[in-house]
Amino acid sequence: MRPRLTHLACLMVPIGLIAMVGVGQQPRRPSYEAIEVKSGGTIVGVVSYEGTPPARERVDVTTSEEVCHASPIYSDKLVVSEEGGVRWAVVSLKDIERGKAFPEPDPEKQPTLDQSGCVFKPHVVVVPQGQSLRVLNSDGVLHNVHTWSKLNRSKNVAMPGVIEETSMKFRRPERIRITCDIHPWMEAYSVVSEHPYAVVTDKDGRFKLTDVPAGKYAITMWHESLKTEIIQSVTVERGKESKVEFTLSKTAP
Amino acid sequence: MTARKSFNARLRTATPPIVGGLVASTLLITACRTQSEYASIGTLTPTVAVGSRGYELYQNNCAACHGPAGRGDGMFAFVLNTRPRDFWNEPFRYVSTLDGIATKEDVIQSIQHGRINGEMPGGQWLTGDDLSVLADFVIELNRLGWEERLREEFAAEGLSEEEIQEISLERVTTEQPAQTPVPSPSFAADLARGRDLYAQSCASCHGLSGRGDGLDVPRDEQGRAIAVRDLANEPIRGGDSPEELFNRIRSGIPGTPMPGQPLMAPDDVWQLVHYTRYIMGRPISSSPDALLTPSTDR
Ligand code: HEC
Ligand code: HEC
Repeated sequence: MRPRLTHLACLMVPIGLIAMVGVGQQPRRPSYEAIEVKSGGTIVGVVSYEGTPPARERVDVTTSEEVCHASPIYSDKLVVSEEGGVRWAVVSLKDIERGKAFPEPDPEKQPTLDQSGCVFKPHVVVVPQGQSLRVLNSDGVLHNVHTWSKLNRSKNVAMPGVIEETSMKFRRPERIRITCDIHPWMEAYSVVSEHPYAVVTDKDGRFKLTDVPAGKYAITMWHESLKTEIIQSVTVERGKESKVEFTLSKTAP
Repeated sequence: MTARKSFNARLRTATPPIVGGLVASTLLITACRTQSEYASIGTLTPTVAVGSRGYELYQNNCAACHGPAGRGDGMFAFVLNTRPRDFWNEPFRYVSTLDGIATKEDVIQSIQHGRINGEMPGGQWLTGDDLSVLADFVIELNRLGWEERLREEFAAEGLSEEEIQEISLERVTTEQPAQTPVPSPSFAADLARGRDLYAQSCASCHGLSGRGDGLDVPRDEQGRAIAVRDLANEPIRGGDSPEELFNRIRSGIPGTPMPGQPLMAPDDVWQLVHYTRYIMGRPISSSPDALLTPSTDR
């Protein structure tokens, strides 16, 4: 028996609604060209927290206790130094079209995400587009590496304790959230960048971009507590240092 | 004999009057709502356009549960124990690939055999061509869902319409059609090995005894609470033959916490198939051939 539905009564819906997708006239985002940068400038700066930062939260360890309880785990979601510097923010030049090349891939310095003490280390890792992210499991317990990528295919890969290493490749530039469902406090971000002018702030909230060709740029700061990145403009002069300051406030968008 | 068999027997007799009747009546009530709601869902490509063959088949057979526009919110959905898939926002779960993307054949399998032991009825009355058209239809809705989300989230950041098209297509197109690998000739079922592998790779979530009590508050990718399956007592939704279990374990269940096992040797995955069937209380056969003959208790 096959249920039938007559649509005849509803044919007032205009056929015109069937629209093909208009393939847009918008240009593709400019892609990056590596050139030799002679006497570029430097951008230095700091990301500061506005107001009194909340204390770092202690994570409630509920699974794999033997391993994960080895030392207390504090959340990396918002890490602010005593001077108010925000760690784990990503500062990057937006839409830069030309600049230095990535350093030659070096097996010793491959971008790496370790799962150690039931924490992803580092919390934020920049991955040059086209290179692989090395993923380690130093814990000897099961983790699952679950990516929340949108522009790139998603992955959810089991890494049982017997497997110490694997790697992942992401084709497109994107900030990718990575979690582990078994240890729900575990969270990391892998920032796939088209160009080498993307860095993570250090424990004092500082950052430095070197060998930037002279010119005017949009510079962005992103932190996981923000919905959208914060943009400023910066002018870089040959051989000089430009300073940029970002603030992260509790009420930011 | 087995739970599956008696259920299937029940399904064969029960499906047309109960499900069919309910589907038909809800469809009549929602007929007009359907067309206007559907037409307003956003971009409609020819595959899913109002009046297309896929549209007709979908509205007649699927909309009562999956919703007029395929968002998992049909009139009938709330009486089911399991939420029907929202084709726009959720990936297909029963896949045979390692990149977590359903092949068209995977989708056809779901439509043809039904899922979750009959809450989604099998479409035995559909012809091969109907199945193909319906699979294209729901895959296209899935792609449009990606288009919608990408546009919402990234258009302002400069992602071009061309890239949105390209990426949305990529997100529903597999690059790794997985063949079910043949167990190696020396393969023999070894429950002790299976138990070790299970303890290493599954027990954190499913619990050592398979009761699904390993995780605190598991969530699906939409952020909704999801239960880890109690393998000892609850039905397997994506099919419980050795081949289907192989795919489920190796590919994982996209959209849920359950990870794939691309790093595990295929013979070890077969050991887990055995061990899972052991937890389920199913007969185990140790010969590799038995793994490849379709199971008789289907
Ligand atoms: C009686 C309600 C009902 C009807 C009618 C129904 N479905 Fe479903 N469908 C479901 C439920 C419930 C699920 C979720 C199953 C699960 O999560 O295991 C589902 C899941 C699916 C899936 C997802 C499979 C996967 O890999 O995740 C597809 C595809 C699908 N249905 C297609 C269809 C099509 C096409 C039709 C019409 C021919 C249809 N369904 C009719 C209830 C229904
Ligand atoms: C990170 C947690 C997690 C791990 C690890 C995990 N599972 Fe699951 N598993 C789940 C969840 C959650 C579901 C329910 C998914 C759903 O409802 O769609 C599930 C469902 C299943 C199902 C039912 C599939 C179906 O078709 O209905 C089987 C079989 C299964 N798991 C076997 C395994 C085996 C074997 C392993 C080890 C190799 C394993 N799982 C590892 C979380 C996990």
